[in-house]
Amino acid sequence: MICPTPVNLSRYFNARSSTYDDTRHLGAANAWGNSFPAEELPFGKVMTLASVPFHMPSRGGEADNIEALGQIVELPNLPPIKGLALLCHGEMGDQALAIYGEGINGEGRRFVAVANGWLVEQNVTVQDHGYACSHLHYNDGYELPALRPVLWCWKSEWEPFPVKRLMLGINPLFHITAITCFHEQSGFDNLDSH
Amino acid sequence: MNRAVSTTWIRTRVVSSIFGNLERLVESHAPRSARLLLGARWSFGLPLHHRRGELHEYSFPLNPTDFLHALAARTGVVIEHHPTGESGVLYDYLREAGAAIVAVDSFFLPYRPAFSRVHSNRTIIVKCTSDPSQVWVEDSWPPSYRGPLLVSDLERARHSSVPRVPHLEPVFSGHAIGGEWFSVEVKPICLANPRDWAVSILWTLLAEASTSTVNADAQYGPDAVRQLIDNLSAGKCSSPEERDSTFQEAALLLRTELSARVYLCSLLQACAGWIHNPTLERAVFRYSASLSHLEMARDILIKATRCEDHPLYRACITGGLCSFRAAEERLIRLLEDQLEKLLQRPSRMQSNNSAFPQGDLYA
Repeated sequence: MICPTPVNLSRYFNARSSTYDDTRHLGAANAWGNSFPAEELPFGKVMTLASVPFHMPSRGGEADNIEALGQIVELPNLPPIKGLALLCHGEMGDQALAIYGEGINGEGRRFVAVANGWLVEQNVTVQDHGYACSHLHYNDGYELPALRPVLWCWKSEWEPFPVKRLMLGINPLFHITAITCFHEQSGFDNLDSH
Repeated sequence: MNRAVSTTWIRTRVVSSIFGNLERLVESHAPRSARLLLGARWSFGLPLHHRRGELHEYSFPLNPTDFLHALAARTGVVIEHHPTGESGVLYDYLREAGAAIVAVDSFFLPYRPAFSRVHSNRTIIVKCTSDPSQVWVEDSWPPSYRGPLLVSDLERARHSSVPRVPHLEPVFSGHAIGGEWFSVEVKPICLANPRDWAVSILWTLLAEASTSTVNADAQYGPDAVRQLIDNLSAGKCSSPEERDSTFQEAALLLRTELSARVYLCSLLQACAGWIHNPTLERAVFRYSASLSHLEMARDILIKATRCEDHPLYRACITGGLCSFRAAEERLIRLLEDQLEKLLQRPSRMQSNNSAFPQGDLYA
């Protein structure tokens, strides 16, 4: 049985993608100052996509995701990891990111994660691996439903091995909101459900 | 550890609105070959300093032989640019030909989400309807729209200074329009021998791509790519305003260069098939995938027009451009090699480096 454990990413957050209704002017999820509506995201709770539970950042409206600039994400002591899931989005369309999982015995695994583009048109159906908001925030102080921002689940599974840290590649257009590891014991039991 | 993403990952490429709309109109004449017909240009045109401010969302790529002239001569796609003009001329043309590509400021288009909020340059396809007060428009800019539009609204959108308000539209604004539009015609090409045609166009494109040159408008070819990389390297801009403007211009330049290459790849792929050269086919596929580097450089430039100047952004931009340049040089060398080999084989065609033999191939 594969069990999920969240990784606390708060100390790595270096980008803000969401704003509240009274802070839309701070939007910085793209060059046009758009942003996710923070009111619609379950900050501080668990968001489940494609059967994967993700622990959302504690607060919106401030640094709430990792812009991938080569960070090294230390993982807690876990049993051998069987896979990984990212809650992520691509700025300017679909984005790819190389990630290297470094093991404790010098072994490692390299993989490429793909984040779908964060904006979909209003009438597009988002499957269960995406969490679509109802509207988009504009930095001029308004919101519209014509384009909807989406957080996507990307996941990969492999033969179990003990991973010590994740070394992210560099792609400033790849954003990670949460990471969940899969292994044989759950570390997710105490989290609130969304 | 190499943490770069492999170039085998390809996403759907976004082309500029003029190329996207040209593809749709050419498709109505030549459904299976629209993409390759638009691909008969292979250079890299870096505008000289005095022309840099002229780049905009729907700029055509600069070329040693004028792009529109080159396309008409090489593949029969005749695009006429009407920079200004009386409105009546456009509507007369629509009644006669059915459709045209029209430059607009989306601020004045009621169906746009940012109607009356954000000024933005782009082009749309306009078709005539039976109601003289309305036209039918096709606007593929997300969220896309197909539907009617009042002629009065279109006219407002066709005449605008498109003021640049950087915090609302940092990239696609600032180019004033006064009734600009484009007509497209596709003249049939007589392809008695596709192989000969392919060899000939490949020689022409190879010469264009491998030659560095300068004219009154721009610097072209491999040297132009190197110059752009140098321009974007750290420490070249004296102020944030100059940096933003440099990045905006570079983003617009890469947008049009990437758009042209999306279609170039279709043409090269078709030519590789016509000359039965799987080596070239594979090389074109690899080159096509490597355009991701150019794409990333363009997109980070756009991001950097607004965000703080992170040193890694510049590294990504110049790194992407260097990878693109290397991929382009590899393909040029391989094509040169493959064409030389073709010359050594018996062929009915007298291959040489001369200009495209129009008389032989065009009806």
